[in-house]
Amino acid sequence: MTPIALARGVRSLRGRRLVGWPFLSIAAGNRPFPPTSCSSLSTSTHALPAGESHSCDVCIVGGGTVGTALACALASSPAASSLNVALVEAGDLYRPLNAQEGIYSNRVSSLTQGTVGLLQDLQVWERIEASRRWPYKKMQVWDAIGKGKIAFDAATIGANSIAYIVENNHLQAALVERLQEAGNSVSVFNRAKVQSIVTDEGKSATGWPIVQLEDGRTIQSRLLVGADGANSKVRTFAGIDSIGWDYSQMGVVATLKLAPGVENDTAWQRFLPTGPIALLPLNNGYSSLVWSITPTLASRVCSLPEAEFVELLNAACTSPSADIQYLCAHISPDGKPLVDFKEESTWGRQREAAYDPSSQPIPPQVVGVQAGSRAAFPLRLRNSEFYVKSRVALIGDAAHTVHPLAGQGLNLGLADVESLAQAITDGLQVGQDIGHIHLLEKYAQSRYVPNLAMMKAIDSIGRLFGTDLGPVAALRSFGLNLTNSLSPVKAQIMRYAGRSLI
Amino acid sequence: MHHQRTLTRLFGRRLTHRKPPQYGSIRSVTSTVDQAEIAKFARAADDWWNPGGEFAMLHRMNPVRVGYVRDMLEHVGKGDGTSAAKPFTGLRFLDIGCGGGLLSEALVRLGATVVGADAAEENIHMARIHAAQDPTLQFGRGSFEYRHTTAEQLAEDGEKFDAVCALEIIEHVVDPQEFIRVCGQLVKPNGLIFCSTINRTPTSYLFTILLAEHLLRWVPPGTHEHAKYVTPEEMQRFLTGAGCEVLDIKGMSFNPASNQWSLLSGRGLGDLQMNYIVSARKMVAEEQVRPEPVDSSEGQEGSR
Repeated sequence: MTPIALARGVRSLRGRRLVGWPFLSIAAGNRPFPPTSCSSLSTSTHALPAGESHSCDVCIVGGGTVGTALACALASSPAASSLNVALVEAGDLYRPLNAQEGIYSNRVSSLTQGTVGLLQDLQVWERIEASRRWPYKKMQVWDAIGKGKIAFDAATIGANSIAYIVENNHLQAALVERLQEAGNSVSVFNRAKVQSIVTDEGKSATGWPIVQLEDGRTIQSRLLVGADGANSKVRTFAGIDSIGWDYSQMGVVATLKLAPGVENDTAWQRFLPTGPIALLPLNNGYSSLVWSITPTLASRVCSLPEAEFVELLNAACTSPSADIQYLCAHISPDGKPLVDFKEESTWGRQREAAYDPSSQPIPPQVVGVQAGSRAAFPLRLRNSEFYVKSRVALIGDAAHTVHPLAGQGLNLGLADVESLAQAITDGLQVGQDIGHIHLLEKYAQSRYVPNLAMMKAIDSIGRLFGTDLGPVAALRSFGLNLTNSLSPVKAQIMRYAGRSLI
Repeated sequence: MHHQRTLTRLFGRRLTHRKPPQYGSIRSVTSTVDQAEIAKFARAADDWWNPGGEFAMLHRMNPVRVGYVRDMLEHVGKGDGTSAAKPFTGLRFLDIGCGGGLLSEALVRLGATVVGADAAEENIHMARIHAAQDPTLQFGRGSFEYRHTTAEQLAEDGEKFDAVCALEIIEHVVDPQEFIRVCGQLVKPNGLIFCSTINRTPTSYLFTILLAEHLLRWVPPGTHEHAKYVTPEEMQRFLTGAGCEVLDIKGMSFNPASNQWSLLSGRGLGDLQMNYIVSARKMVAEEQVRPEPVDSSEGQEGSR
């Protein structure tokens, strides 16, 4: 192949949105110019014939929040503006966001100040409708066994909020909107499923990874980024092991309607022996539920009639542990209540109030559940053995999956995005090959230990509270109360939270 | 580094010049050598470019060297200041002693027009083979040509460059003073010359030879000869003798914990004990008429 022929080929392709460079595998042999790259003059993604081959600098597999955020980060960095970026999404990246007042998605995240700062830098934060990014100023954490509790208030460290609750689909829509505004620097392969990933091998090949799509198209890239979730195909391609375990627990989520008249500015989390239950404020009158329970109970709870489900939640937030267990034990496998939930929980609450009215925080009363918002998903903890290999980087859930106990998954994933984008930008400044392992190591070095520390902390908290063993419960009550009484320690936790936690 | 030595070891002495290479084109690789030789070069290129191989230290040092070159050129107002991605657009560089093309490729990615020159023909083959594997190097704003030639030959041909980079090469040449004088001839007036090497100190013997070569095997034993190291004072004298004004000297240090190189200000104690990098400006003709003896006690500060 002659350089002149190649140069001509490129010039004729440069105007096209999707083709970066033609496939280039030269050195020793004189290979003919791949005809597929030259012959197509189409400009639409879908109209491209099967077998079309593309070449780019960065190919991001997975157009979820984390993958889309990386595309936005690269598109908005002046130093990275010369990069050809491809984003491959199996679903529909452009599905419309049907936002209605009073209707909320059941998948939400608690975004820390650090994450909000990143989203502001990417000009994404302000695209989320103000009423759909709800700040919480206080946080109440308490234990159903014993009397341990701890309260956080942003005002004590001079902050306006501890974190924001945002529905994942609203964040995703804002990211996609930003990406569309960024123009042509990112080629989107929408509704494109990955069939396989191979390496361009042979004595004269580039050694770059090639993503083969089900429709026959291929994308060769200098750097392949796996943002394709817990069952990452990119991770499998790279031969990277994922280490961790499944908790024998499910996370039950739902959108809850609350009794009116209360300023909903507090996140509530109560540790039950079976796992934590959390109410995260969405707006005045609405909160999002995250409740970790056994898989058996999760399926029963999800099919329980609304009135009984509401009673059970109110009991889980206020009643003694034994009463909750009693109610849970009286749900049939197909979700029928076997006792009168209303009577039982009212009785339980009266007894508790008479016994010690001041011992427990009182979260807002749940009065209803948004239809169709109940769902359950398995909880697991995973960390990849490595985050990078030569020409491969893993970010978000592809690299690590955490128990959603602290709503940290997305914060960790977006911190990955910030770190990887920084490593790429730094490398571009000095003319590095951005798929080079030395450059990618910087990303891994900056993220591996913090992610592991957070995962360890979340796992330990889950284990600490996942028992009703007397001495353990007594000790943790003591710990919680002691921490609660020490303002400097609390302020430190809050500052840490503001940066990257909770 | 020791490109020649490595290749001599890899190929023995059998590789001799067959016919004058056709400079500046990947094609010449295929037209001047047979396929078996190509396969050997490709394997050698793989070794040379292996991030965990013999040249790992050089690979890790490269981003720091390029960052320094970029900063200094920006400092003197050369290049395309408006382009964050391609700041070297419009500048013609010489990478003398280019080896496998580590520096040349980085400069091309930043928009430069680069001549990568090496006295070892094997290195030129490797560099061409490796560059051919990266499409951006073929089609980016910058461009390159690799030449099997010497600084002396380039000077004789009357070549001139906006910037000449002689990085990690001076400690491998026979007569460093003469080498720098010739490099000076290759720089356009007001152009910059960059030299990096290792200081000749007991510390550098301890770390670069005893530790790095013999004990830790970070680089192959025999890579360096301590006697060939050049002190910053000598370097400044050579550069001044070549009609250049030294602008800056910085130390470079490797942190084994983070596996990263970093620049040292050059003013701290021990900053210039080991690896260092110098930048100098080629003076215009009028400036050069008055001979300027260098006071070596000025030494490590450099003259700003």
